[in-house]
Amino acid sequence: MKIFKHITIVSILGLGLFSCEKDFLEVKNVDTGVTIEDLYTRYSQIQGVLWEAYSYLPDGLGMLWRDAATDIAEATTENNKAQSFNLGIWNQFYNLDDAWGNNFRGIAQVNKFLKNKDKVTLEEIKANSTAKDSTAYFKALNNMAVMEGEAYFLKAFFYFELVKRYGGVPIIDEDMDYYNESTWKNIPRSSLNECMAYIVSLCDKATGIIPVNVRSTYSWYEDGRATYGAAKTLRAKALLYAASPLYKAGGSTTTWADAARAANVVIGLKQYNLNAGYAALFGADNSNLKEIIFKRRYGSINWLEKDQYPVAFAGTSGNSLAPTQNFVDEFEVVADNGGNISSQPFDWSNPTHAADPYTNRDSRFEATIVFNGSAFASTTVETFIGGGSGLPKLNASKTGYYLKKWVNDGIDLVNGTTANHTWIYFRYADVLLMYAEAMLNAYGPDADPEGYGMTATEAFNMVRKRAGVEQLPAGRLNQERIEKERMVELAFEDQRFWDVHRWQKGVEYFNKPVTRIEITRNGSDFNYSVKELENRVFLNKMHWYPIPQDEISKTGWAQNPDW
Amino acid sequence: MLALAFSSSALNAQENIPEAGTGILGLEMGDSTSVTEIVDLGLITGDKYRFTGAYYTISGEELSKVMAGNLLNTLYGLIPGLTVVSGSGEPGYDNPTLYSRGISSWNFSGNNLLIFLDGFRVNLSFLASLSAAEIESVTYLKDAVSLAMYGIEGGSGVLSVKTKRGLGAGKTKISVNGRLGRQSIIELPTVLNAYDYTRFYNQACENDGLAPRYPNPGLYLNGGDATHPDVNWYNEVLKDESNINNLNMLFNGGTETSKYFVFMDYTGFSGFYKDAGAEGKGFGSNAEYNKFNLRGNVDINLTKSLTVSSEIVGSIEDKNTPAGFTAGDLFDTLMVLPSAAFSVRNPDQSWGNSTVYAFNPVQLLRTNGIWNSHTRGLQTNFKFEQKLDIIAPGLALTGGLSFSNQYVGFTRTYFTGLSYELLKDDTDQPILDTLGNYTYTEIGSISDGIDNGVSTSWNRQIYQLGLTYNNNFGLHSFSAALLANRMAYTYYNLVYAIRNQGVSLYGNYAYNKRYIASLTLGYTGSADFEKGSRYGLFPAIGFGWIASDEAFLANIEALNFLKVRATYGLTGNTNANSRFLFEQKAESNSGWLFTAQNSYFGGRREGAIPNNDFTWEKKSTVNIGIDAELFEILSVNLDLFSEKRTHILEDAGASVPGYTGFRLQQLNSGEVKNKGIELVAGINKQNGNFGYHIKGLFSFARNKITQKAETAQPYDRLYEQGYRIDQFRGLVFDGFYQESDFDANGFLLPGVVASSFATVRPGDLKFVDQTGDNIINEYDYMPIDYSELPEITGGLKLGFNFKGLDAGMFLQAVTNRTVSLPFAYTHPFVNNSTITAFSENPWTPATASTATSPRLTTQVNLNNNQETDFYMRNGSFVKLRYVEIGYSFNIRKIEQMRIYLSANNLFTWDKIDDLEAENLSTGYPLSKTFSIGLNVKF
Repeated sequence: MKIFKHITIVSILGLGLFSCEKDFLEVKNVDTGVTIEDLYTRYSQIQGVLWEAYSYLPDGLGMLWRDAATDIAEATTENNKAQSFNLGIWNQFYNLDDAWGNNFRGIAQVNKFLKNKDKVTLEEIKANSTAKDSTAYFKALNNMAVMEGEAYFLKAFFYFELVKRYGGVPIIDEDMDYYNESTWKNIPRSSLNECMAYIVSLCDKATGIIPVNVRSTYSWYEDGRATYGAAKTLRAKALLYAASPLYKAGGSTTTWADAARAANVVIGLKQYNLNAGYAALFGADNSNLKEIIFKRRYGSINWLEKDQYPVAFAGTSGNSLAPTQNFVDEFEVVADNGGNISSQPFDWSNPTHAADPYTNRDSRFEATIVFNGSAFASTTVETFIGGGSGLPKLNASKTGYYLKKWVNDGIDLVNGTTANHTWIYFRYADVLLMYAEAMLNAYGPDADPEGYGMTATEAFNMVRKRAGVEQLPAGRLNQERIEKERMVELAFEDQRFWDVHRWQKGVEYFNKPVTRIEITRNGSDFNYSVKELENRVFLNKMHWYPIPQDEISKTGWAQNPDW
Repeated sequence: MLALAFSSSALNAQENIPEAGTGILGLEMGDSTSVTEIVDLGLITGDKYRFTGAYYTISGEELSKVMAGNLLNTLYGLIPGLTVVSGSGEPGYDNPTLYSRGISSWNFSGNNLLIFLDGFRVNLSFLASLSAAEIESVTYLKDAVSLAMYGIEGGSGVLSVKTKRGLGAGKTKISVNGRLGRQSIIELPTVLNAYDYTRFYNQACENDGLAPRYPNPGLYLNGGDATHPDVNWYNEVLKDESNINNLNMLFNGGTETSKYFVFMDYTGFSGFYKDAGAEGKGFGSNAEYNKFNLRGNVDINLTKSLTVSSEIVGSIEDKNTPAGFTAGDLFDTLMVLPSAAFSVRNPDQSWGNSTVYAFNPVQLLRTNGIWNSHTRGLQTNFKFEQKLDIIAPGLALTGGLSFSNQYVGFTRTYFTGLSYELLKDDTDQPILDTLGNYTYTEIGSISDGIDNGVSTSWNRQIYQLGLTYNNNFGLHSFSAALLANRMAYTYYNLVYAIRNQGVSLYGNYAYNKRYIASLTLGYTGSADFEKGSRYGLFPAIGFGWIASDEAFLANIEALNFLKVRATYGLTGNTNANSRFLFEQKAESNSGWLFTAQNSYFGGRREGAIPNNDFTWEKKSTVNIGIDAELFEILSVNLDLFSEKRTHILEDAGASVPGYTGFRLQQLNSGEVKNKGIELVAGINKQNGNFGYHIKGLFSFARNKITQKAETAQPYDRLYEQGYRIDQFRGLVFDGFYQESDFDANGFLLPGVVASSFATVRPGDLKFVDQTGDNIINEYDYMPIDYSELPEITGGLKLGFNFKGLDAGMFLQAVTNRTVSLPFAYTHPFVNNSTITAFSENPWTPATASTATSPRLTTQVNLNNNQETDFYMRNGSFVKLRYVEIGYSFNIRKIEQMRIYLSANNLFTWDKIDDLEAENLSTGYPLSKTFSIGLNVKF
């Protein structure tokens, strides 16, 4: 009896232990996450989907190193990404410009937005509107409409980033479903021409939706979002690239005339002006200037200065980009004869030039480059041998120059102060030079058969006038001058690399040594000696990036020629 | 309690427990007088002769041979198949990492051994706070038959610890143990003195084309002077010896029906920081560890058929460390702080410092306050067993529950103070002011404060219920257990609890005590997985044959016992870091700045595409073993195993192209194969007053990754697949660049291999060009030697006893191990680092043929910074883990008194100059210990 008593007590205890919870292994009783459905049906969530798509736009300030893979600059540190390009050791297995994955993720995000945006319900906003105040509801309604245009613009931007590197890439028009393999497996690469046409069509879709003066139409439209002008500028740029020699060789059918027409559309908007000063375009208060068409804000930061400041300043990391001597040589020497401005190319064999190489140069020189003797943060920079920022000091510039453009010299690295930085994707001077190049190649330097109102030379001279250098007389404009002007005007704006590629002049400009200046001080005098810095490697196949080998293994595509 | 030799048990020093059959948790059952060995299988126990699986047991007494503040640090080399990799030597923060049969997964689950304490799971850190004197045995379970019942978590082995039980012998036995130890550091790296530092620094400047930084290195000779210091920072902060003490008491007694074991232990263990309290007791602290633990084990026979037992264990650990730095920071800095950097105190007695280093170890040790960490751990268990012989003979109902937890809190009182940099000019002379006094820059600020909080905590609740059955029908013997198990586990910052539950069946059939078959079935599930896929079946079968009982072998005199066994089965592993991968939710991600105010607009996106087949890692193991005893004294145990682990979680994407933009959750697609051997052979003889034992241990395990998703590589040798986990890789050293490799302008001659990492100069490392393109880049990396986890561990145990004298020693050897010398140790001067003995013989044109390190330079040299076999070494070592001599005698009322002397880690032989092979002298150093102890039994 006692035994049975024990047994029952113990069994009850035992059963009790095990019958406590219905499903012991279900731990997620309170679901804290946002479901996928919520993501697309709630207005507040779906806006975030588009903001996330913006984050795939290129990190301009973070990619300044790409200009060190061109003839205009040299990276100071050995392990800078640019070095792999300059040594010619990059290839389909090893490419530090990781744009393939990043941009396709952006495209995927935009596709998801476009597919799901119609699921959003604004009912809640509608319900909360009062009879007198329905602004919130209409704002949401209009915002959803405009966001579709923004999405097309972003997708065009991502495709442009891909095509200018790789040539033809797969066109993914609709969102792909992982669980439905036919939507994403075995997609072929489209041709270069098809891709460029696709980019243009996306821009057109964008401009079909975004109002011409969107910030006037909608007062709530935040500054920094895509605009009509931005979409038209992207379109013009894409067409200019498509008309360029490299793309023509790749099968593009776009003509220079098409490019000129597109550039003219932007000019015709009359929404943009050249800023009076060049230097101000890259300073802390640049974000509202009318020359800027599309930009990226960085907020208040100082990491750029940490990298770029001359090494005489405490707190630098030494990861600077040093403009080369051959780049400095491109800035013209300016003479001002009572309002009559004349300029000539710099020449070392000219004793006046050689004695004082840094005076009376193109105003853009001082705004772009820190040189020996220039004023920087209330001190004078010394890049001569043994100087405060010169060799052989650890991490000193190897060329004798430091970067000035984008760099804010009011920052105190020791105390860690910061300043606003805004990167420029498109600006009006670029549009004018695009127009000039397209018009020149389509109709010649001084012709305007379509009646756009400006010849190539006239547009060209607008940029030069702002820079304070001599305006070109009629008949003198040629492709070489366009190339030099773009090099000087748009240095360190992620243009040089792509310009040289599209002109198919990589071997001519990049496959040769870059030079530096060696300055020795003699009392209060300086002796200048131009020396070779390092040899660079550029092979013809490098005009197009190779498709990453990983991708080739998974898709079986043919690789770009000669890779 | 000395081990007695038994004919079939010589290897595993076991208590002579008169039990039989499969039981739960070592409870005493019945009163059979047959002498049967019991093997502890964690959740259950079983008869040793009929167990077909692979396991190894050591007694708690063996653990007491090593005096360590952390119980886990007594395990080195003692258990074949269990690799114990040392952590740091810092008191209180010195947990090692345990690996079972090498490693077979690159995830956390690869070293996630289950720890059982008296039949219930606890965390490894709880085990660290126990004392060897309360441990009865430690059993390591290795193969499928022993692990399958642990189901979804058993794949990485089980370590089952049993503590001592009361003997119930009527009179209470009391044992008191006291032990005093002195520790000293095994080996510290040699940092060059100030004179050599300045001389070599000048040489580096010359190599870089810079002016020499120290115009007069001679000023630093003979200890330097007031403004040209020569400081041996290791000596300033560390002392030679520290103390470790231990005192414990155990009470063992009770009656036949109620037995108890009570245990109390105190351990104090201090570190090597010197004069920490010199500026004031509250301002600095040596590393200190004080631990107090308490145990009460009770076994009661409530009735003739109902037995209950209970364990209550608590421990309190108090750890003090200086608040000014962590041990890691300190020892990292000591390896890089130059002897000539600054004086400990300036001429004006203020603390010295420099803006470049901003770290004065002596100041930080003595004046920055104390970090105190307080850990409380508790395990309370309750078990019962109710015999149900009236229903069926041999049937019993068992069950139990356990609550265990640890809580770690901290209090930090901190102070910061000022230090001063003595200003010097370009000629390395102090800058004087107009009055001729030294000038200084002030560094730091003055502040004080106190903060406290929780560091971590964990909590486990375990419930068990089951049936056991043991019965014989003539020559047929059955032994079985059916167990249901449920566990809930949470820890600090874990949002969703970890929960497992399941049912395991263990059945063993023996015919004539000679032919054995066993079957284990584990059916367990975990909350980590999707509903419907939570449970898995883990079967294992085993066969055994006691061949020595066969007629054809019974006549062989030499062969006393021969058992052959083979097992095959499946186990699983979950990953605490990767749970719920079958879900997809929306998540936040990068956004964009808009508006003139730079407002951040946060981004949202879909989470990664879920792993619809998310499941646990699976392992199948084949194990073949032989247990033999020869010539009455020689015992041999051999285990051969082959494992294959599949469904290893890894970053996927093998077939998903980048243009899809898909982001995938980890998939269960990795595979690793692992094979090895464990061999133990020993002689154990006791002849009246004299006895001796010799035991050799050997274990080997080698793994190979057979399936891993990787990005495309141009050469097969660059893939991880096909090589061992964590295989070392690097460039192969091919001599230094010599002056003859360069032309007059300093450019490399054509044909000489160039480096893609840096512009090389004479004296830099030259590497073998594997790809034939005459440029060294990442594609010239080769797999080199082994990985850091040793493939082979061996041990040799020797001992003898004569009348009251006993002596023993244990030597551990480890090989097939590669290590990489610490970066700071091998790369002088760059980033203001110092120079160590590694670079004593650098390349110069004069020493070109005999140099042992590259040319000195003050610039970052990415070529010389690459992973290369030049900086790797053979990590094999032999360590004398313990050597002990003791003498036992009795005096009047005292039943036995034993006095003993022992030394741990007395000698190390390794293949690395100047660094200690186990930890490479990084972090808080490992130490050797001398101790003297007294044990009194009443």
